[in-house]
Amino acid sequence: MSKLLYPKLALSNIKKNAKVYVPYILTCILTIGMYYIINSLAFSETTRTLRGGDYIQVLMALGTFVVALFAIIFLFYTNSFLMKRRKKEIGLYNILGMEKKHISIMIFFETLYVALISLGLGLLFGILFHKLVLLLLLRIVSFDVQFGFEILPSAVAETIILFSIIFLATLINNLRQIHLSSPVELLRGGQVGEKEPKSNWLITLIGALSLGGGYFLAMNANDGMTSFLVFFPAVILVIIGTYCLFVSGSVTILKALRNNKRFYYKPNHFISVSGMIYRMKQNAVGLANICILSTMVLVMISSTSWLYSGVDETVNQRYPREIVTETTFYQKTEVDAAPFQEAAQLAAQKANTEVSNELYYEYIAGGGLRQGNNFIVDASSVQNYNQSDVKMLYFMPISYYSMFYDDTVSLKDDEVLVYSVQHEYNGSTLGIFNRIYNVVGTIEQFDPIGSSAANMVDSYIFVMNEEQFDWIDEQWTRLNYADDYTPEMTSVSFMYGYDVEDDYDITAAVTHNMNEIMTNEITAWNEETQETDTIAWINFVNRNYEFVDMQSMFGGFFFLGIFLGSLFVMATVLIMYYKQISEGYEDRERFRIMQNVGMSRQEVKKAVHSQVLAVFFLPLIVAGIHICFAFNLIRLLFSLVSMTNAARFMMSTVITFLAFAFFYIVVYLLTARVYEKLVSEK
Amino acid sequence: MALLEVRNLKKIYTTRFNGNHVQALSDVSFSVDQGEYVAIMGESGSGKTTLLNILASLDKPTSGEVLLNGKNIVKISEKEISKFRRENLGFVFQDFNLLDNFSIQDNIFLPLVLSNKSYETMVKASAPIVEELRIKDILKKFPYEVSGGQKQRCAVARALITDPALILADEPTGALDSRAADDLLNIFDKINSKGQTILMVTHSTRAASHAKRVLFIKDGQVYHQLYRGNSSVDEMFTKISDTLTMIATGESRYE
Repeated sequence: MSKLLYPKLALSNIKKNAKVYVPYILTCILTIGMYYIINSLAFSETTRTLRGGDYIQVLMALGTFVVALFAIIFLFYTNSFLMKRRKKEIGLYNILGMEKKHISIMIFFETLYVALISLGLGLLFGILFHKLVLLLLLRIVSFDVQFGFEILPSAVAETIILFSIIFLATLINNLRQIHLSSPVELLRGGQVGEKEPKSNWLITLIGALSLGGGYFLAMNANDGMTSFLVFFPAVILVIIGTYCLFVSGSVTILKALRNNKRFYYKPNHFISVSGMIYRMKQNAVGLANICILSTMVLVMISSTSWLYSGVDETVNQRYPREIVTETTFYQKTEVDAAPFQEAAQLAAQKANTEVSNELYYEYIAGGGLRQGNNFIVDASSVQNYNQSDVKMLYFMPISYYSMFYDDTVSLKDDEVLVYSVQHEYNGSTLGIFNRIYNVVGTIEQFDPIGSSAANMVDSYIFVMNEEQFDWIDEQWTRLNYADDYTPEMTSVSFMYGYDVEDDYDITAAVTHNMNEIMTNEITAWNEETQETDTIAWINFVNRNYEFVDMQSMFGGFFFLGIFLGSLFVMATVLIMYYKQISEGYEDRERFRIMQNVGMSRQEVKKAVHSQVLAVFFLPLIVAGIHICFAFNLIRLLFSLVSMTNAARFMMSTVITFLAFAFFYIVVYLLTARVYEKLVSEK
Repeated sequence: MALLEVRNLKKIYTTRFNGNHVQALSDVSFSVDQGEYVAIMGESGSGKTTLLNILASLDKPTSGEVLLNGKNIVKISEKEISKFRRENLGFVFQDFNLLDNFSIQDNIFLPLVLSNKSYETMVKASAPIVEELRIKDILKKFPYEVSGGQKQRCAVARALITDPALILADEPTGALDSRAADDLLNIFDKINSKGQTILMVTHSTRAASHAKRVLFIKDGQVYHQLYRGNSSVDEMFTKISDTLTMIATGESRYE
């Protein structure tokens, strides 16, 4: 026998099975290309030298990992589908006299061709589109676009190594399957599993309970911290629920329908209910996969686009002034705005700009365990906390509030005003250190600066008169010197914020100057007071820096959302396509029999179509329901990073869903044509 | 009047690629009376299957007509043909053609469900049939859980449930072992004796020997026919064998 026989045979096999091989190779090419792109984004010079490039690189490295994991799982999955379709053919080769050794050689060549074509074209695709994707990334994190063409050898090498291993693993898996099975089994390979599925009430129940549990967790979270804690449990419960319900719940429901004689013995219901029982059995796992992937895509894109679109708002909310100095003392010191004002004037002058729109105030901050309207602040209560009951408390003298917001109010000794950063305070009194204050008003407008604006737990700012402010400070200072209390648990802070000309370089210069001036001053100050630990720390914040940081971080997230989203969408498309093919092969026979028994071609077509339609749109619908329940949870989760605009999140979710649904329908229509063709073949 | 009248049926297939013409039926005419049991015999490629497909209205002839109860089924529009087929014809196929996703009972009910009959009607119509065909006990089972003979009896029940004018059987014993085949042929005898008209296509001499009349098809034409008269099944068997030998060996005599 000619040595070239097997390579030739392998080539013609791929050609003959083009219907299943072409999509597989395309998937490989795309996956390889995308892996190369994200890998080179994670490690290229261009991204490293960006402003906020560190964030982006970390995110892209994370993305590289996700894509690699995805590639392994997904290529294995599609490969197994491929082999299932080809078992009959291989069995035939076996029966016609090819030994398993020869078949193995043939399969080896097939895999080799697929690997070579995929790697070659995949890398080419990756290198060509790398620049385009980089431009997209730069556009999203809005930096200047750099030109030039770049090939990262390390990314090329890693891509080749990873995918060679994957291809080798699929080859080994295929060979193992062929060696383990007899020709007769191979011949029958395509048509196993026509048994009627058993409906399993237990699994259905487990599914319903997990799904219900997941939804319950999601709906019942009402603050950022809880949502963070329940997020993963809820996701896992929903995934378990989805799989169980797709696999077992669907069959259980359909069987219940079948037992309803009046409903079942109608022409439409008769064909579709019994057909669906089988379809669900064969497709349940695939459909659950599609459903979970779709949900992931939807969550990722809607939330990251929301994050990204809200960068401006978030930064402005967290930093109400362009430059903010947050000075924290261990204990109350006689401090006022004067030294900060001087430093700011000087710093601005040096940078040829002017200070405007000043805002400053002083507050005491500490944690407290809320019981009704009472707060317990001793160390053991605050440390052994149940997350959601510990709140951050801020106390502020009324003088600053009058100066910047409202100078018409005056407060008696037992009166306070409250401003709530996350959840409303909802109490008529405030009890602390055995004193009870009446809450006489709620503050609507206030600009919390720095940490008070960014707390993960609920934070309340209480405004009180000077005497009471001093008294609270006294109480807390006493606690601070108690043995089991660490000073870090409370602090006295002075916030000083102002605007200068809104320009990245100018604000950078002012911040730099301010830092320099203040550092000198603090050294002098601490020498003067002879207590080096008076100032705990001082923090200079430049809103423009924060903006760039946040934009590169959220922009990176958004980019990753789009990138992984499109990868998952590709996977969804391929799974749908393969499903249509296998459905088509199986329905062909049924189609013929039904026509023989007296259904018209149109009737059969209609019946089969409605089933296929139901099967394919079920995942989309369920994904939609998941998203509805996830909405609350994700909204709260992102409140942790100060994203609070629920209306905009709603909008980005709806837009994402509609776009995805549109895409889904287009893909369905395209793949349905393949199905149609298969079924009509005689 | 004959129940089924086939006149000058002609069917030419044109192959798709080189336009060659293949004549499957050249000129077939015969008729079947109410209550008759007719077998059509012929070798592979003689045009049997083409003929049956045309009678079943699954295929259209190139020319000629097929009258069932005086109605030309060749002329029935595509729209009405399924309904016509469902109401007037019953089918029994070699490979049973049961749907795996239906229980035996639902397979039998299928034609009635398609005609939008009520569940009670179906149960009532099927009761005597399933009794007669001895499949009452397996109604809840699925096709892959029962034997070939049972499957074929189920297919017969499905054919009978609409009370069709004519039952068309395509090699009904082809996939059965000899005991199940004899059983099925006895069932055919029984239902025929009750007045059911049966037209069977087969190349099994044993199957054909149960029929009252046997038509032999060769090269797309009715070549010969045998009447049973008063002969027993075994005598009929001998006659058919002789005829087949004669056709195979002595064809020169006729040309």
